[in-house]
Amino acid sequence: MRKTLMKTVNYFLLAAVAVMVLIPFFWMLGTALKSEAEALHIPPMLLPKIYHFDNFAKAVRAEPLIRYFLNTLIVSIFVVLISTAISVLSAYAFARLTFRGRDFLFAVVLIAVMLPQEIMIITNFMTIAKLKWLNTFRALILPYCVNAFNIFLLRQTMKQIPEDLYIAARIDGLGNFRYLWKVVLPVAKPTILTTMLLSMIWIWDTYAWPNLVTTQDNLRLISNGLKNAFTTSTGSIQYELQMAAATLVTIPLILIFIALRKYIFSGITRGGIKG
Amino acid sequence: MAAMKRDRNPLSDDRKAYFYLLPAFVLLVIFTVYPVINTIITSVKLDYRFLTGVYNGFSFGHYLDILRDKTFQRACLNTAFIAFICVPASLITALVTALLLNSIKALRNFLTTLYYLPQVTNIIAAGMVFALLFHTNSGFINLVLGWFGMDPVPWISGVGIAGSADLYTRSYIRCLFILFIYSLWQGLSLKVILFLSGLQNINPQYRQAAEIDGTSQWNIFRKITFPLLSPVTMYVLITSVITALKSYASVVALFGDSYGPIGDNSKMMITIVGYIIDSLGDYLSPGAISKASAAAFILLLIIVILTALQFYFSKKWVHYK
Amino acid sequence: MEVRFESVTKKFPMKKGEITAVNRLDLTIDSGKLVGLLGPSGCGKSTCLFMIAGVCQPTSGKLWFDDRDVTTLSPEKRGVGMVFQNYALYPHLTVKQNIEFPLVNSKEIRKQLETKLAIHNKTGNGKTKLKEFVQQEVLRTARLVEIEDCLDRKPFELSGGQQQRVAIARTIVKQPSILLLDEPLSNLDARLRVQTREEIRRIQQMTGITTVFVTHDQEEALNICDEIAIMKKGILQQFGNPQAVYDYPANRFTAGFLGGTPINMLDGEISDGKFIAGGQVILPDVPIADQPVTAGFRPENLYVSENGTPRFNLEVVEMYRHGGITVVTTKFDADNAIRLVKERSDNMTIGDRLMVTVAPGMLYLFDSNGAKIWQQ
Repeated sequence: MRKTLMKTVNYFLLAAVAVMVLIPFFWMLGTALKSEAEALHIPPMLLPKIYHFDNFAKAVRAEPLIRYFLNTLIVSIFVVLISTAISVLSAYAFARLTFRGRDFLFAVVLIAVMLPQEIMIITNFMTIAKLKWLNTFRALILPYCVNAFNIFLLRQTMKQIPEDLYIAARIDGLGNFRYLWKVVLPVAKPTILTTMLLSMIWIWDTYAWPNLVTTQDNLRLISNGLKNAFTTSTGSIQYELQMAAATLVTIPLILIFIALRKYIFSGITRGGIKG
Repeated sequence: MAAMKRDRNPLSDDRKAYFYLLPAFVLLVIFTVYPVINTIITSVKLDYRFLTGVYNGFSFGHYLDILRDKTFQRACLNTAFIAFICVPASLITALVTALLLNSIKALRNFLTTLYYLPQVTNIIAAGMVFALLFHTNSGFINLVLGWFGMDPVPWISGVGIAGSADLYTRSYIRCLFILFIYSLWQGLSLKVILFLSGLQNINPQYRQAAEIDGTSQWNIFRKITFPLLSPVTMYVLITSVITALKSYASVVALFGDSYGPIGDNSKMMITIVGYIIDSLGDYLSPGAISKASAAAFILLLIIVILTALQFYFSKKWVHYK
Repeated sequence: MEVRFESVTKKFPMKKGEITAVNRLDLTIDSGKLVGLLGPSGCGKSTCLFMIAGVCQPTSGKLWFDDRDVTTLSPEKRGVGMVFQNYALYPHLTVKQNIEFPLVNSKEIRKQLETKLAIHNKTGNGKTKLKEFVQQEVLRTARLVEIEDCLDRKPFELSGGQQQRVAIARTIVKQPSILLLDEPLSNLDARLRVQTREEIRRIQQMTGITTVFVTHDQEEALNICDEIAIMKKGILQQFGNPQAVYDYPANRFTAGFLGGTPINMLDGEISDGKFIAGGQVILPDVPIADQPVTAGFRPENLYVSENGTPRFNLEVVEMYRHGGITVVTTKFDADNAIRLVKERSDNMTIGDRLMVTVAPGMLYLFDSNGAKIWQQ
């Protein structure tokens, strides 16, 4: 009896937390489907009378959202591909090769994991400005191409591949690169996927850096574009369109997350606490 | 033993290793190592103009300048509010939620996924939604207050605050409240996952043994679960505080580029990173970049101290594993 | 192929100084032989194997394959095959893919395979393609080790014994000139271990590949090896036919290392050409100088006899059945126990007194340094 009661309370509390989590999503979607008049109605309406799905089309037409999407896609594809290649190579060197200065260089990586990106922003901005790379894709892509955390995570995974496998492959006639390609990559695939996903989410959310190095609409990433969209010159906001755009920006990542949840969870839980 | 079997030749090769590391380290040096060193140096350059590289010797003046700067003080206060008020609150909520989640089986995966949604929501979109939730006329919060017969609260309002200290304080408190609720919502996700995985790593035999001994649930938590979870708690606490110290985009999304309600010109809700970026935006005026660098170095110092603390505690608690 | 170590030394740098894993080793492994490298852990046997494989290089000395100096040759060019204690199967590949792995991934082996295929097609007038040829080789090898039924399974779906067969198949499919086995049976249970070791013997005899087998288990080595090399702390103690090493140990260490029931060791001294232990004259006539010595004699070489030399007067203190044999522990004096191994123990009870002698030629005397100075 007491047990059932406790269970009920338990589920009730969890449901309450779930409602709290969902309210912003509910209000976002609800507002996105309202007409302009309904969005401005006082007092606000819980739900629209008619669902205005055309708000999404309107939002896309009103602002270059597609452009922002494409820009973000381009940047994230380049970043994910380049940073994965770079991370895999260096993680392999740290996990498998013996060379002078290995401990020192790995310590540099570990320190880089802890250093906040925000500290780097000043000098990186100066570097990019001096190279005359402001308002280029290079400026958006290159600083993200090395990710110390990914190197660390991949190195931990590769270290767990038994050394015997490496010796066996070498005796079977494989060089280091072929071994990396034929054995390490397939075995470490889940972790590689994790790092790719984490990098993608990172780019999708990044705001401060692109805001600094780009001033043109045709180079904006989704976060920056969204931030400045749907605000009229007088400072009033078209909420139904803004929320429609926010929904459009939110949905792709949520879908990816739901589909590949276990890779993301494994990445974040292994990042800090081992075991 | 295994490491002993191998040595330098011929299976390992310095040159090969450096070749593998080259791309990563070229980028690390350019975009991470050099920037940190350069930031420290820049912070003490006087009247530095980065386009020409000209400066008038070295001075710690920028540090004094920003410490005396009202806006920087405000930035520190706000950042401290997020790090030391909002983070502990969301940590406790997350711990309770994780404990509840850990004691159920049905729906656990579903709820974990649901709770994680804020983490994968675009940070700007989330901030905008919260700004709308608290909108005076169109917000959900005032709608709910209305159901209970309450008048709409002007949550984000700068009307008259420039002239009245009292109105300013009230507006500030309301904005802090919004930031608090937002931080709670946003910070819950990651912490619940980390706590849950920490709880699941605790051997259930400890708990079973205590249950057989007739220990009460509260004592099981106090004497067994919480101590065993303490390394995770410490990790979550310190990493969350560090993340909070770097808050920027969420504040901009919530309160706009001027870090406050319309009518406010004091950058009411600015954070340390916001201060850095604002100074950087002013990069053409001499000394602005040095000011940004000084603020960045202060932030770095705080983060380094916290990271050191984390190392210290994780070593101290290692015997629980 | 013959493998010859020529004064090979291998040192590993450590945090403080270095350790010598192999010390001035001279050893010739004849072509086609199955040779066991034997010794306690840390004796350098695995290092020897890794040097043959090319995974590590000697600090000094030379290593020869027939007349070819391979001291610094990289592993992929040596044409050796190696089987590991943990099998080292590629976890993401099926059994078939594991076996064909060296064939499709090594340039050297591919070349060899193409030459072989050309000859095959010429003599047989066939038109086999390389891919089919690889499949034939895989299947042939899988049959040899009797795992042709699980070709499409992943390693984790197999039992330990099956995994080890796959590992062997992967190694011999490329027809190595030398087969190296690093503790291949340690992870198997007792019954499987005996079975697999017979299997290794069978495959080795069928293929005729020179095989080096590293183990710390002397029974394994004694059972299947043509020759065994016993090592201790990097130094070769004895090399030869297992039975010869067993019956004629070169020193106290090899005598003690071999044997299912540990050898009896009895401390005593030579005085006036007599071996005296526990105040009794055990051997009346020993042609060596006066010195402290230790006598060694194996439990199974002891038998009850009223008149023999040496002669021990013993008291039975303990008996236990151990499979098909009985181990009888007796008291020689207050400090020394002597064990006998008998097939039957019907006519003995605890407290009996026995007169026991050692089979002719099976008593060894070691000096204080452990070297054998006399064998009766």
